[in-house]
Amino acid sequence: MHNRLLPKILPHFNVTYIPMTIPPYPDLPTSRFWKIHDTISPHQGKDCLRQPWPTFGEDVLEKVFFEALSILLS
Amino acid sequence: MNNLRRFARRSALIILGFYSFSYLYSLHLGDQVLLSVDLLLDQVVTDLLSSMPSSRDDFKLAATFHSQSTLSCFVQEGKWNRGSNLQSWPTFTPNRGWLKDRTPKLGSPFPDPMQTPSIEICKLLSGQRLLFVGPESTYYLHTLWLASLESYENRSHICLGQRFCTFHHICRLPFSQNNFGRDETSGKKKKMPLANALLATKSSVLQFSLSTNLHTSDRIPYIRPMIDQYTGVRAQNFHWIKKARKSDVVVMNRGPISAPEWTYPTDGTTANWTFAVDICGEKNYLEDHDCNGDLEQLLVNAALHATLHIFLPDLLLSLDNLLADFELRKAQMFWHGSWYIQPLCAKFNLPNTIPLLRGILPKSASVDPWSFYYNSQGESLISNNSCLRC
Repeated sequence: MHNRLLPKILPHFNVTYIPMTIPPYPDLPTSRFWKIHDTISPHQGKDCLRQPWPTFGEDVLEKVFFEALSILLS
Repeated sequence: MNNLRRFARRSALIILGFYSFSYLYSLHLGDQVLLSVDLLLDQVVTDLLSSMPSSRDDFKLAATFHSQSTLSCFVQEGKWNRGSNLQSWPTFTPNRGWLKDRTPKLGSPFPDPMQTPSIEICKLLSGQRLLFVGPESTYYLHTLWLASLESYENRSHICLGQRFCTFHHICRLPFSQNNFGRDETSGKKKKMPLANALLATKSSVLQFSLSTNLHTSDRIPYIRPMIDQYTGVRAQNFHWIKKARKSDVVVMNRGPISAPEWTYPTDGTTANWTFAVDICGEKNYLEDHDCNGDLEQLLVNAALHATLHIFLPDLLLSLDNLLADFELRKAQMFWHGSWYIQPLCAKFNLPNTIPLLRGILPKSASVDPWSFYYNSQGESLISNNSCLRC
């Protein structure tokens, strides 16, 4: 809903919308999922939003957000 | 000649009608619900914009819409690469082709796309002050940036936490190898660098302010807890507007409204979704479907209610205040969208008693009801989104 409303509304208030809708993670064979899962520290809690788990967060968000912001600033 | 024109017009209408009917018919029931939602949201936007005075330069507005659309394709059309290493997660590459083909002005500022964007962006921020304001997801972006800069600058950028973040002097030249973080941990009180110092060193200042609702008023002291009656969760809003006035770049976000705290199972197994049933009884936005429908439909209706009756009015009030604030006119303002809660993460370790609902995005696996409620507020049926369609 936000992704539909905000790009049309925000520019009227001098705010530019940076889309962050990254496509769904691909399905992985169960055996591969568990192999990778075993590499995660048991201390890392599951927090799919604030620290997107598994390692989806750091690499992808960084690429998408900072590259998009650079493009808008330049 | 007139008959010919009439015939052509009628044929076009028949073809258009047939196309619309086939499109609607080809959608699953869930897609039909989402499509109804999108049509309703479009009407809300149309009504809203028609009531607003036209104050912005049309050319600038069109350029902003174009940039947003291009960036949306850059993300949406990106690809996940499974890779051959069985012990590593798939990686994601945005579709940079959209930046080259469609917008020469938006051409990538990076000479080498493999460079880390969070480091390269420093070249564009020389001498500037940035403010990130929003919920914990915005704090996470700020933390990601600091982590990248730490390894590049060989300097500590410790943040005292989302409630205690003061400022970070970033984008400086790398520190010498043997003195990691010495200036940050020397025990001296850190002073915010002045504008001249930032320009001289080509560095920048980053600040984060926690705000879950983006309210602009600073009359209510933060120490007085404000519980959101709709969710039962404390709303946190540090006074950020003064920081924004001193910033050159402001990045903000207000995320989807969380499900009420009483929906979470107290016994670990049974969730309580009566709030969605009650909302549907009061106001059913999806008039073609009754309130005895499935949980997906009830949650979409509740998400619409949260968006149209809490999120949007609150946001418009804040945006009006920002627009009227003369001291904010020099700042470049951005809104980072919310990201999709990934089903792979959402489903992991869920109790069997929690039902799984469909993903909102195409080709998405199913998710738990709380992620569904969150995702349905943040996302839309993108293939049908005229503003962000590729």
